[in-house]
Amino acid sequence: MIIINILLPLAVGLIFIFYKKIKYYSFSVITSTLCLINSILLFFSKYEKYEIKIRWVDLLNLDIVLSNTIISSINIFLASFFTFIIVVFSGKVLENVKNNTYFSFIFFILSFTNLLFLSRNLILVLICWGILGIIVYFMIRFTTQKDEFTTATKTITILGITDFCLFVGIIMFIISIKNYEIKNLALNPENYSIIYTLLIVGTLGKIGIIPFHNWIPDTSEKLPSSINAYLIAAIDKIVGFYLLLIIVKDIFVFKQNILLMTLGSFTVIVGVFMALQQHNLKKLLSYHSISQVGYIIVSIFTGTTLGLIGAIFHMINNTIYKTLLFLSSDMIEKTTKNTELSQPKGLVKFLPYSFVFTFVAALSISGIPPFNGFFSKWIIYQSVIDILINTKSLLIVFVLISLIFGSALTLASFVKVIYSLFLSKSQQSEILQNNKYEKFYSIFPMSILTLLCLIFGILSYEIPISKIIKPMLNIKDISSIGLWNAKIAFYLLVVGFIFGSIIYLITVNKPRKVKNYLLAEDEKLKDSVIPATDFYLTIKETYPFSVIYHFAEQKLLDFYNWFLGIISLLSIIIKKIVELEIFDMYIFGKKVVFYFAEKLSKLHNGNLHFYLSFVFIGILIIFLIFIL
Amino acid sequence: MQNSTIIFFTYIILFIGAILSKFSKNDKLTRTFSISSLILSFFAILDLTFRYYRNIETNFLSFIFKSWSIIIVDSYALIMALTSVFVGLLITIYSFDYMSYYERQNDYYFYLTLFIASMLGLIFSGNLLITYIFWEITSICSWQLIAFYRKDIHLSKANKAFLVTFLGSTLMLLGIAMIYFEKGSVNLVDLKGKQISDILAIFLIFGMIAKSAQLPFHVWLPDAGVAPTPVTALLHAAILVKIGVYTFGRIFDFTFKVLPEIQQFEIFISILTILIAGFMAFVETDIKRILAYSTISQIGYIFLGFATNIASSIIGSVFYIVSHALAKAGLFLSAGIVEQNTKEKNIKNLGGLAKTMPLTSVCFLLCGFSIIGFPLFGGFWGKFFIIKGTVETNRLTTTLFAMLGTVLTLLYIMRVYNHVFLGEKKFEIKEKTSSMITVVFILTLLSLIVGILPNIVLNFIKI
Repeated sequence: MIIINILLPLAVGLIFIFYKKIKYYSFSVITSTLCLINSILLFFSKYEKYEIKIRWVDLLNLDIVLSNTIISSINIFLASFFTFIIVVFSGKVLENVKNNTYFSFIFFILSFTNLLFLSRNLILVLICWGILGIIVYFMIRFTTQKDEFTTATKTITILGITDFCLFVGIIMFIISIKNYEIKNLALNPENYSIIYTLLIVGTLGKIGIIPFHNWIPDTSEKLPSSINAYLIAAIDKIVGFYLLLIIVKDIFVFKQNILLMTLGSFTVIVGVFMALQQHNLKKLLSYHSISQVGYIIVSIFTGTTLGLIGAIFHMINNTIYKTLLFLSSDMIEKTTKNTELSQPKGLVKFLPYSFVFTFVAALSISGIPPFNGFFSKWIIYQSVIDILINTKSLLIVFVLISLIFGSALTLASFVKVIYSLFLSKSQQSEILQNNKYEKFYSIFPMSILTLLCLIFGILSYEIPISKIIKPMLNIKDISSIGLWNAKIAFYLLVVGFIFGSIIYLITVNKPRKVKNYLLAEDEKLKDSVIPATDFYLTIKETYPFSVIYHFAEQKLLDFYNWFLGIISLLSIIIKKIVELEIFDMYIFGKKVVFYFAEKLSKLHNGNLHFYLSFVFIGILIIFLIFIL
Repeated sequence: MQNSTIIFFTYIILFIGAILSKFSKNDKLTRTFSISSLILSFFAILDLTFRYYRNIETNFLSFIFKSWSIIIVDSYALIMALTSVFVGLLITIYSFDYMSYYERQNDYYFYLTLFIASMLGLIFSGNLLITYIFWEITSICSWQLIAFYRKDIHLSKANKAFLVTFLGSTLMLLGIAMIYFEKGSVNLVDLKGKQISDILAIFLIFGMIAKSAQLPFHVWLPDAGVAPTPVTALLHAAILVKIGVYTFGRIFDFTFKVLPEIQQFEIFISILTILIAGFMAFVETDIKRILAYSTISQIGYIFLGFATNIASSIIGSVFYIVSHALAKAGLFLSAGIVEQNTKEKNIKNLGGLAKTMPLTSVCFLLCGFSIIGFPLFGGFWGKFFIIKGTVETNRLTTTLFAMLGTVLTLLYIMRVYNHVFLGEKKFEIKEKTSSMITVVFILTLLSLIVGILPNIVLNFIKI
């Protein structure tokens, strides 16, 4: 049962690559549905353990051990669910993107993701992790409209560097603990600080925390939004978080780490500030993706059960609304052929469903009740406040302010998005008028995600916390989660909304619309549209943000550029040194030989008395050798 | 048939094949003699390997002349021999097409076959003096092969390669002579477990690092790229540079006890080589020179494994000899296809070849992944065991530098690949040479197979 979700997508992916006369979409929908059904069965039979053991490397006594735990079953379900959503949504992929590579890479990712979740030894996890990096590289190259190899190289380099950290970390772990298996070891991170650091760095690279985040905005700008939804919003987060959870909770003692909390809050702020100034929707969403990861990192490293619950809940919520946002972006990309926010689109008339979906997702990500993002952020704030009460540290104050501030700026950023995409005056109305863009295959998966945003917000205790997080963490009592009662809040909100609407309808004065012309207005100004990208120019122009944005625009905050620059500089210096004659053994040796040869040739000048002297000296040396 | 007879057969048949290739009247016959002798030799080694693992004869270590144990057969020698002959065989097949445009093919196949024959002689040699003799035969062959085109530039580069390696081997000969005077024997069996002095070890090491192009004797290898591509593949990937590491492993891991300071010295040289050659590869623009620096750097890992001298790292080095030979031969031969089709070696003048040469492009990238050490490729396991060895011996700084070397490998391999195969298309060329591509494809496939099923190689390694 457990290998179906590995072998089926792998086989289908390979068939798509080699056999091209096939209906990719239908086959993909069937495959993803089967994987989803199997993952549901696995999820509901979570207490029944399946295990597969195959000997792999004799010298290491290394077996491929696959078995399902509660955490792995839940993660397989999540991966299969998002694969299903993306596949169903992809009834029409972007022009110039080959259908077979598009679907085959999705299935390859699903296959190796599931293998990673089921594998019980760290070497296999490392291998799956590396393979996923390679698949991402090929995915960037082959699912973009033109081969984006520079971005793909950047991605594989950053992921490669963090993977090498994981590689060394796992080797050191194996040698220190003499164990390959993933099991509850509860090691103290302070006693294994290097291993702990290497493993965490290796994991954070894939999740995209600062300073390893730069591949995400670049990649998301180039990839089709549906692939972004799958890769950046869903799978990368699920996989990265899974490994992080194993490292911080199972392998090591679950502990507070203020340094990583600070890094998380820094990621929230930097991510959201960068998002504010983006002109491209995909890039904006990717920065929000980075920012939301910051919340998860802060929450997990509070080292409390509440923090852990908040982190898992926020990870699930983030995956849902971020996937939804990227899918909306895909709709916009297909409709208007671009995702530029500087061109007001006014799409509310043409994409009404997408407007609703995007609106709900925007409210969710901004943490507005009663949507799911609110409650997970609420839990995160509570866990940070708990730490603040205990530690009274100024750093934690900074962390808390960053998180709250980050949420406010997220809302501000999405006001810009909603305005630009849907509510502004359209300049493309005529072109869009006669086309129907919202098809069932795209509306259906997006509605599921929208409903989930609402359901996970209102029924947060009943569904995500009780059915997913509680068994995942093996928690018996969830009363400590907090004071928030989502259902009452929802009812109050609905009542408030109804009252508000009634009051509005009764009291509002409808103005009389008269076309006035006083001969003084500028006719051009009357129809002008304010570009949404100018909304927060003030922030950009204010010191010290102006300096930071300037550096960011110049790519000076890109760790990858710095790294490449340093390597290039070192390479040039080393080349200059190595190519010096003194370091070239051949040239140096040749010079020495010629120098002595020249000196000796001067002695051989044809004069008899010179030669007689050599004979005399020679005899003397031989005589001395014999005597001594 | 006696095992000792089979061992002799493996290289005598190659010597005969070489001589027949030299004196045959036409090119077709030349090629036939060369390839037939290689195939026979390969199957003989394969037979020998099966015998070894089935323990047909308990007294496997045969002494032809009782006082001069000239043959040594163990898993290390068999793996090395199989790799050398197999890669040599593929390179010879590749040469059929590549060299068909040139004259003096009998010379080419003569030296090529003789080269592989001497390599086998060296691998199975159980005596340092015999090792030295075969060592020098390989030097002469490589000298002739590098200078194959006979222009001034080729002659001067060939001289450079010959003189630098000869300087090292002279020092090694001095070391061998000193061993004889100090220990009274040059038989490896007699010398097993004995301690040698620092100065002796240094002399021997100089010979080996000169042959394997390690710092500071590395200068000859990038320049040897003027040779025909199959020759460079043979020098870099399979045979010549591996002689040094093989002998290093044979002498310092399987025979003598080495003092810790010598071990430390060799680890230092390895790390320095890995990094400096990695940096050099990152700024070079000639595809063959980049791959040459890559070889220098990767051989550094093999030396590192042997120098660390514990079971795990030695296994890693032996494994990496095999996986590096396959992947680097794949890289060089792919580069050869590019060079032959475009007549261009500067990566900045190349580009977009993935569209016109898709198979070569894929093979180059996958072989590159193996050299980088990505999972599921042969290079991963080699580096895994080598790094494991450095961690086991508590050499954290060495481990981190070795990882930096891997990052550099990732950077320069991706740089070459992007410049040559991606971006703007600069040549309208098709993949027309099917035999050459087949060889590259086999090497790529094998790089993947040894990565997925590492037991194929690992189970042969007995320490």
